Amino acid sequence: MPNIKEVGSEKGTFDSGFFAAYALKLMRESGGDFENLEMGQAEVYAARDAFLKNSTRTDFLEETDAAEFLLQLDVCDYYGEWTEQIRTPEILSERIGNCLAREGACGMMLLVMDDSNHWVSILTREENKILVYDPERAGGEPNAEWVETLTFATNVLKEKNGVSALIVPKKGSAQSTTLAGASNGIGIEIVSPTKNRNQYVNLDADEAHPEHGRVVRITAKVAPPKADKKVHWSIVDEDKNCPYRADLTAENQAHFAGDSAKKSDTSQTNAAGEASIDFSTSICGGDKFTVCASLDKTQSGDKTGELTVWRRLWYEVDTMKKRNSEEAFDLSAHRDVPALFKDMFLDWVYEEKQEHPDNIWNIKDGHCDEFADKYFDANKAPFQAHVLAVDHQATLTIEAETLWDADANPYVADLSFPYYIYDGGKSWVSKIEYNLWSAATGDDWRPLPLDRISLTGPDQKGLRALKIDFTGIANPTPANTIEVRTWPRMAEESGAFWLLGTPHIFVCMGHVQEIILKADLKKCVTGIIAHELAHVVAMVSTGSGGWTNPSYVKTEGGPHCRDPTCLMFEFRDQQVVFCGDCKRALRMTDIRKKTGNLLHTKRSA
Amino acid sequence: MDFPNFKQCSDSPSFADEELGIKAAFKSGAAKIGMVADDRWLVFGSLRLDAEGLAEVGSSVASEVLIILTYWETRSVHLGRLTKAAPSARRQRTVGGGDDSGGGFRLMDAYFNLDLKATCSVDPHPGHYWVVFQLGKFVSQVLEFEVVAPPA
Repeated sequence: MPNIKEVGSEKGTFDSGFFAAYALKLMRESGGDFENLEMGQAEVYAARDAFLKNSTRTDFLEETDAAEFLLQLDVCDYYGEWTEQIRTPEILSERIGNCLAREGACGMMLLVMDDSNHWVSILTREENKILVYDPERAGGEPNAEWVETLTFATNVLKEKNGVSALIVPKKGSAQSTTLAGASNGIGIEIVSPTKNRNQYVNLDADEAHPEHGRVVRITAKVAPPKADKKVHWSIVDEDKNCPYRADLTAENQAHFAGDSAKKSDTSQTNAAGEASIDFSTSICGGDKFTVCASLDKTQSGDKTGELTVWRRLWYEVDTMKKRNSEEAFDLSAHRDVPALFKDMFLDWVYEEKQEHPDNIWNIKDGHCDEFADKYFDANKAPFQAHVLAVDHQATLTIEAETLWDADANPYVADLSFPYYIYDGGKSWVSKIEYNLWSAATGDDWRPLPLDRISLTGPDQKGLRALKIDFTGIANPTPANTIEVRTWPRMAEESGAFWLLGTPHIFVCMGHVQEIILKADLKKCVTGIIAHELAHVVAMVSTGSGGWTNPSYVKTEGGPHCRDPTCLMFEFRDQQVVFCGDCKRALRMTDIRKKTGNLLHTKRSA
Repeated sequence: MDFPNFKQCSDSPSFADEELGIKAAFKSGAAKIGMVADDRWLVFGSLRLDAEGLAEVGSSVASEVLIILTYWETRSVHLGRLTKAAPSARRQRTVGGGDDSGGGFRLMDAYFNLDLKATCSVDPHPGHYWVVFQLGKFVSQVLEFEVVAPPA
């Protein structure tokens, strides 16, 4: 049996307590249909007066069974006390909690006064609702101080105590001021995701990793739990979050429930009061999304944590040993590569394990794939690329006949060539002849022993020059030159390349070290690796959706950027940044559709 | 014989003594020929460069030969190179060697034989084609060929 004395026995305080208790009783008797409550202050006071003639407050409470609606007048007893003592969220929340914790207490009354009227807010614990009961408002807009104070109180109740606010208008009157969080008396909060996070939209969905995949399952819960409540889902400030939204195709934009046309949606709560929705972020790197769950069509409910669209791929590094050495080529420059992609919200993660294949001086055409496959672990296929440092990858091209005028001994040719030296020995030249011409005999071509020829260099371009030792054979001078014919085999060297349609990137460090100054080498190699990794994800694209990339150019080497300062320019020249157009292109690229290049037989796709 | 290759053969065009540049021909030196869509479209070429010419095109001569193939029926143009190595760095012009006083590089003769279909990545549609080879400032004669569908 509630202790009815706690509501006070003095007549002077009876008005508020009686009023509140009786109001609540009547509300309960209305079947809990608070929105259709019909009651006015005059009516309540008349009832009160009728009892007061012949009974005490206590008698009233007993006779009307209003005692079961014991109200704790705890927060505000007197004018002015509210603003001076109670007006902090912590204190108010504590008082509310204390009230509701009292045995037998079914609610509390929050009395907010202005200088002309009593405005009563009633919180019922059972329904976990707070009612702002406005039995008889004078009309016009509510008193500003009342609105401000009650807004503050209801916000505290919502944030600290999980209670939503309800405005119960006088029947027939206009809806009064909506307070923050106002709804139909039921609160709603997001269950997951609640924290900000990166959403890696290119990865396969994984229950253990909700941050993987484009589709995010969002769950909200109503309090108190109630089935079949309609939850409204919407995107908060989408236009502000999505710089390229207008250019994305409909399918690539954010939407609900797998339907690209749905920018908002609804779902029903289950018996546990939970409702869920599948939300697809956009595919554009850097886009941010917050989803609101609300019990009405306004965004007055609770919001998820901010989801930022990212993409994640892995890369593995293997470095071949140098010729005649156990030391491997140094590809540590790769560690500077991931930072270059952050602006494009692409996370390249390094797979730490590294292998060191024995040296092969030159990996011939047609053997690159087979060689790379041997060392590719593919642990994260089909999301893993392979960066492989090798010595040389040169193609045997022309076997030219060259004619020289040797004018000194030893003679060093004045022009250098990319001789195909990779078979070892002198196989880069099939034969060499010199002409001991004389007026008497005319042309007299003779073979020159191959041990008389060698190559100098390589020079800064990786080229070598022919050197001939004529000692004991002839004595060429500028005045008396000797004709020399050679049949050399030429090579076409590669510096670095992505093996089309595979995860493999080759960095031919043996050649790169020949042509790049040591001081510039690390920066150049960083740029090379970043350039080739970008090709793996189909850069440079022609654009996407409604945007055409003005910097795209198709060169003989494939799709590149026109801007010579950009990393995606065709030729390496110490570039270490992507231009704005390339950044946009990569942000707008649907990388899920580009991982075909990373498919590998070592891991089933 | 595999194609492309860089060997001198009996169909390789020849140069007169003072001639320089690039030449191309079909089998037996023909400039005009009929082809079948299914067959290989073989072309035989030669090039000769002096020091000045080599300084113009660079030491990696093979990758400098540009093949321009025109399909008359649709006016489409197909391009190809003898070799497709990806350049790693911007090229620099070779400083030519040798002066008139003697000594040094004098001439280079090289040969190439290729299948136009493969080199230029062409779908073999029947019709009329032209092809020309360019190396620096040098260009070959224009070769003409008519492709017919394979017999049923």
